[in-house]
Amino acid sequence: MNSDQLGLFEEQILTMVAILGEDAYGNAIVDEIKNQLQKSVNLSSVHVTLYRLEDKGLVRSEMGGVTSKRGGRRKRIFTITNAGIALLRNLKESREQLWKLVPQFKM
Amino acid sequence: MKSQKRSIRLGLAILHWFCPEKLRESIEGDLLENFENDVERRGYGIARWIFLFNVMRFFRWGIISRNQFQMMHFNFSLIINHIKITLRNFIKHVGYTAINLLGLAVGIGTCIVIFSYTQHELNYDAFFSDVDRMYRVNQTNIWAPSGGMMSSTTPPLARELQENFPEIISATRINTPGSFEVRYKNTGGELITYQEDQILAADSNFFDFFNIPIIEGDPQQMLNGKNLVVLTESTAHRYFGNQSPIGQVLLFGDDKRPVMVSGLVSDLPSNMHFNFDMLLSMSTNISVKQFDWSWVWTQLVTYVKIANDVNLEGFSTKMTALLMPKVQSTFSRLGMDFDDFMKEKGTWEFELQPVRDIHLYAASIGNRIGSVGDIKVVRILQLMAVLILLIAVINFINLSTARANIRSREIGVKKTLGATVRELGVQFQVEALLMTFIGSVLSIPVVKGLSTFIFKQAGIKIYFNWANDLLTLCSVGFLLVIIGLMAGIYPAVYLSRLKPISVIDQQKTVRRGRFNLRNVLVAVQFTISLGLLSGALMVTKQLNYIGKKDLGFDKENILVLRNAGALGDQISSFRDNVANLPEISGASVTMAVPGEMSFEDFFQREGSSTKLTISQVKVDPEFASVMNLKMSTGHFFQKHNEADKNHAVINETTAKLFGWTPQEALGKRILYPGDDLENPEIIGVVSDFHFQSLYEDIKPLLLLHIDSPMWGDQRMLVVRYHQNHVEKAISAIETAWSHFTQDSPFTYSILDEDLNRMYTRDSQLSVMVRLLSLLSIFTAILGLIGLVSFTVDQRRKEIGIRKVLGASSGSIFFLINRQYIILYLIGLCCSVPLTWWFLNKWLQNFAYHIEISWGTFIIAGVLLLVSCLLSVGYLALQAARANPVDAISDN
Repeated sequence: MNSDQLGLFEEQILTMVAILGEDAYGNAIVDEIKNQLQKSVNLSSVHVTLYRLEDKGLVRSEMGGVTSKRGGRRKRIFTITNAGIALLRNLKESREQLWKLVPQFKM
Repeated sequence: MKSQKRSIRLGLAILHWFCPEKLRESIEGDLLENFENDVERRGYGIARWIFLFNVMRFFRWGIISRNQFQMMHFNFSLIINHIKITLRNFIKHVGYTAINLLGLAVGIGTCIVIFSYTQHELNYDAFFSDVDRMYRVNQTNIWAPSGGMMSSTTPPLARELQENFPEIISATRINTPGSFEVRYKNTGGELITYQEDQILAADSNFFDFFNIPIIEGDPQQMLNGKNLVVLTESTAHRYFGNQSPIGQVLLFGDDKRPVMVSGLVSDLPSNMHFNFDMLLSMSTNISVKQFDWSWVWTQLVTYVKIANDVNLEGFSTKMTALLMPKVQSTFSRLGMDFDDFMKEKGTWEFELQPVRDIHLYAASIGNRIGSVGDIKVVRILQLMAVLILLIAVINFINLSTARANIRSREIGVKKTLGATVRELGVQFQVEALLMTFIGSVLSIPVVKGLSTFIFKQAGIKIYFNWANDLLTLCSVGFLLVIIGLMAGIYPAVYLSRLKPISVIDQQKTVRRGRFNLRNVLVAVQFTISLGLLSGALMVTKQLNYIGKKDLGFDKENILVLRNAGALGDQISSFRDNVANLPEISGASVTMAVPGEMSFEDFFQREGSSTKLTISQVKVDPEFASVMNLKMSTGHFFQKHNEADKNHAVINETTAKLFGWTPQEALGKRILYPGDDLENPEIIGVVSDFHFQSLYEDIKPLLLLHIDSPMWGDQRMLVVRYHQNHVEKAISAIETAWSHFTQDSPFTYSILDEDLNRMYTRDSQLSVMVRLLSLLSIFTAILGLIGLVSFTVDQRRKEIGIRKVLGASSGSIFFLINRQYIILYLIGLCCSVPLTWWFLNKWLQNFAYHIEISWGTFIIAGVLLLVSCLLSVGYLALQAARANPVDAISDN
């Protein structure tokens, strides 16, 4: 699969992983999307997307420490890889370039 | 924490089943975190449902497909080992296996039979190659007092549609010329005669329109011209044996009209919405040409084929708008007032109905040239088949989980030796699939038995063909896998998660008493069987009611000679001859018998412009006494009274609709717009009787004298015989018949049976419902026996100790059955409202129906309870009576 191709939802999740840093796991991302984008998303789709991003090499994951909460289950913490950062930057730049070509409207 | 964990165990178990090991911990963690939050915010009760729902949302391809890595572990020899162990287990516990297999065989067999029946119903007319572009033209039923739609239309319609609408590629018409006696004199000079009832007439482009396979003849020319007929293969065989029928001449009807055989087609498939033995060319029926101007001579069925990419939205309106002026011109030609005529019936409309919908979706519109089915019946049957299968699957689930501790040692040993939960799960899934597979092999005799004995007897044809029906076979295979998975999944999850310590260490693994899935499933079984049983009782009751309902005439002991018209003018002397036979109490010549009296025409009330559509039937003076009609007032036609030819007898409904009391009606005249009839005077009012089926309300009826000049020259003879003398009566009439004619065969039917035939579909439904309800109860009780015998076995020691401590046999009996009685009551509460709702819908089909009564539910309830207690009671009794020493000392 061409890793340059990224869906909107994938891009949003990837950005959230970048924002959350050390704290990026399933639920945190759901909450962050709710807070930042006022959009409620489904936990299972977040998980699926994270695994897909991992397949594409844009994020990597490792298990976090043990807690007493969560029924004793560890978190899977996701961190963005260099490739992920580069892709986000690429997307942003190409978008800005395109935006410059749009005739500016008077507000 | 502990109790919380327990309540979400099911969700976690489900997650375990489908979620890849690698991802599970973090997903579980996220879900549990949400669950803990939800418990705080919304409380425990709601949170656990949200949890379950969220688990289900993880059941998606993106998650499941990540199991691939694990699938590689699948080991062929392991599967073989599973199968081996499964078979050993089956043999070791024969009783358990037998109960499961029997249940599954019955469930699957019933499903296959019902499936092939409904498949046949659902595929009506699928045989035609461009059926998706074929439509039948329906129009407002101008003959019913309250309107509605009907499938009969008029001669000019097809032509007008084709000329005015480019969307319509072709149009064809089918007419019903009635039945004929058909004669053929073969080369040996021998006369072959048959009464042919399945005759249709069609336009010359019929075989272009409907692609029926032609054996001999030119499809363009076969119906082009007067006095041509196309035969089906089996009809041709009856007359001509193996020689070619083309060019042979058949003699039609009493006037022996010569008609040439111009074509031969193969026999028609059973699922077409029309059926014929003989197909005449349209111009053979002169009336069609004669009424070419008329928009009220609704004696044909019109079909159109539309172009490929036409949007039919608004087409009906367009069609109606264009045709209305033509309809109105017919009315002015007849000298009738259009608006007055249509007053009660709404607007006069035309519409297109897809040919595929005729069989199942046209119950109220009807089908002039064949019978119609009902999609509701198809759905009911499908539902019932699924329910029976469900009962069988529940049996499997309950018995395998109940027997958990018999298998527990095996599970424990396997687990300690390193088997994973998943591997064990696979083993139980394999077991379920194997059981289903054997069950389906055993279902073959069930299918055979059902379709050849019971259904055949009820006249229900099951078109099932193992070899040809690839679709059915595929669906059956698919169905089996689904059933296997359904039956296996819960036991697999449940059994594979037993803790090795607890199972090796001690015996006690089966929890009791608490709310658990097994109890729910048993309650569901009770609900289903009770519903089906009370439904079956109610359907039977309704059909009995129809059978016994006072129809207003005496339908018993009546013979009908439908082809008596063949005697021509001699019919009245034949009648007198028959009436004088000692076995016969009376005979009457009539145009039609009750049940089939619909020859509607317009009549007007004297002294007002009120017009009414009334069924007119011509009968002779004996009719009232032979049929035992009761007079409301006045008198019936009298013998040898010439004036009666211009008299009329009406029924009470007619009088009421004309605004008369029966007394007032006497002496009044009924006006008829045509020239056939001079406005007849009413001499009597007959009490209402059901001259049509009980699906219909009683409509207005006008009886005229048999010699009246009014239209309608069909004649038949009704004969009332003395009770218990039917055979003698028939042979006596036959002898008399042979004195009158040699060229017409003697045929008769029994009125009671003819009337019952109108309800064939419903009586077939009743047979199926009764059968399915019996099968469902059988399967459910089978499961119950398995379950109870197991419980009894489990609690042998407990029972022994109770008895030692002084419990009576009675209390032990109650102890064993108590749980099931409670479940039974729960099932009862669930099934009554559901059944009530379903039955009510079905009963609405009948104009005359019984009310749903509590009695039926009580009878059904008691019946089921008693049969359960009888079958299970023996086991319980045995346990209760057993010597406690045997139970306790056994170690």
